[in-house]
Amino acid sequence: MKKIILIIISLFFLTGCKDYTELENLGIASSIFIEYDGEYKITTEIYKDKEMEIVHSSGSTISEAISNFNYKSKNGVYLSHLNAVIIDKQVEIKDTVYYFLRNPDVNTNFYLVITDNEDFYDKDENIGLKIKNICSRLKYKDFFQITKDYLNENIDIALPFLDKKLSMDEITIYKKDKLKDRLNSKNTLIYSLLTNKSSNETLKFTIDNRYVVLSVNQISKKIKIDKNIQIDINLEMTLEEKEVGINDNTIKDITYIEKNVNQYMNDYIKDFIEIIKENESDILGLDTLIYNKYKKIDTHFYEYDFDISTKVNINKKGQLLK
Amino acid sequence: MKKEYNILQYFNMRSLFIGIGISRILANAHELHPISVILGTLIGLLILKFIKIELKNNIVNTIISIIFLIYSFVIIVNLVSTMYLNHMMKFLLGIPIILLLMYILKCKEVLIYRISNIMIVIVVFFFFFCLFSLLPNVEFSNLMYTNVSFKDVIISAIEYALISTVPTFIIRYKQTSDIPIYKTYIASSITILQMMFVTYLILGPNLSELFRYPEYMVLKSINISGSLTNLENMLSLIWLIDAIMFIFCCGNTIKRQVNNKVVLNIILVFILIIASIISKYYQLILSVYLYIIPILIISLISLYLVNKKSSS
Repeated sequence: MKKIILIIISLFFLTGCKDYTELENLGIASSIFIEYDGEYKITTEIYKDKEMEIVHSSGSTISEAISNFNYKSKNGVYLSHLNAVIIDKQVEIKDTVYYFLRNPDVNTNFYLVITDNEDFYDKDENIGLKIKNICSRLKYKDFFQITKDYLNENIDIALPFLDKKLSMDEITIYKKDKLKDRLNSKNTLIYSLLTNKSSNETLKFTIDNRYVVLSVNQISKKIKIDKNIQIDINLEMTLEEKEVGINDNTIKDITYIEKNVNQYMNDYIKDFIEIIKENESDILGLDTLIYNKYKKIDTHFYEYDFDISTKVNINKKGQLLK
Repeated sequence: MKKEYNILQYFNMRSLFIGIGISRILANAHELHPISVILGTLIGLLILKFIKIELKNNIVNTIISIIFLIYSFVIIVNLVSTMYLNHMMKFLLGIPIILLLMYILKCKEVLIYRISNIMIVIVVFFFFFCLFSLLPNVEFSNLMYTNVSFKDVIISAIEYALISTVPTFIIRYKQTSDIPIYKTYIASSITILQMMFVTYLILGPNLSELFRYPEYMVLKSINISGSLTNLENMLSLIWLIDAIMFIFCCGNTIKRQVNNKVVLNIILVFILIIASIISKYYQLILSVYLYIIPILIISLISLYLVNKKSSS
């Protein structure tokens, strides 16, 4: 009898029913857009049956703004399935990082994106999921990796930029907490090549006034800190497309294309390095390498000269012989 | 009996690492934590070799068991409260554990050994699953130099030795005090080191000192094939089993010492109330985490002085 009583009592306490919320009463957020102009304005994109619900709320802090959501929507906000957090340029990156890190309900796989666009939500399209899919395909860093970089004082962060066409082919670079610059799509591509182990990026080059398009299969890079910073990059590429007039039939033709592409890549990387040096934004984590080598940082990466060496190797050219 | 006892001790060796051991050692020893763990294991083996005790009927043993039980209680309740049931009253979180403990203590002692025999299979499976799912995210660049002093490495080693060995003394009864547990201790150290090393290689020095449950945070970010997520729950289950097995051991020692069902139940209710009060104030929770090492040292000395095994 005692056992039965114990089991009955346990039933009330072991089921975890205290303060439960039914699934239909949860406002499952796909993305959150945070703006700041003296106070935080939050736009939350919530999953509904067939379309998305857009809810606006505001408050003096991010958490206050998010909890004020509950006054605007019939369902309480639930952040566990967040796909993206979009911030405008005025929002402090520090506040955003620490809020989402502290909150146990939030996963850390979502993508943190910056924008200067104010009105991009559409009830018929899941913008959060779209951002997540694009960022994941382009191998941008997710919130967990961004946080790691943010907390490392020898690395600066780079966030994808969401433009008016909802495209994310550009990134914004930071120096510590300060937003410094926006890189164009070519420099964003070079950043991706320098930070990723593999890539499917496609690049267009002009050789003898005719274009040739190559994609990157494999990247290997070595960065060596000495008197100068030496960056050696090997790129394995596939010939995707070429304008009539460029020959790729003989060994000599392929070597000619490789030589030209090599020069282009060298120049692109030099331009990219110049931009990050100018902004003193260490998005490649070069100061970490300096620190690892000398156990202190007397000279930052932007005070070094760079030696760039690229080696392009075309190893595939599709199904055509000519 | 020897095998069952060793399995039970495996859980005890790992029981206090949840929220305390791993985060402390990673935060203090940074990239040199493997050295701390290896040194700590050696110190731990020495403690196990030279401190021979046989629990006698003594009020000191009861008090130490109660303190350890409160510790485990606070740790479990805070883990559940932080990670899962944020809005639930902490007192209510403790009730199922106390009810379970009361039921276990009503049964014969052998039940605890049987439970540990079953749980070890689950724990080992989940441990390796967690470990292998973490491996693809490892980055060796996280082992960067962070200017850790040798003193911090030694302190972490001593902390490791104490956190992993002192809980084992709580079930050194007359019939089990001579059973060697060195192999189990080394196995438990290897599993803890593996988990710590992988966690550090994923989080790096900055994130690993930021979180109370760093290994949990790592698993939270794991996404296998875009569909298999929330692996952190497996780890939580491992920690919960470790801590609950330790709670059973402490409860069993109290039962042996008190030898009176009514008094035992009163003590358990008292423990629930004390743990709930501690869990209510964050300052008290922090004190629990902060003073674990002095408490373990005092407990170890007291246990040794009271229960010292005569060489004859």
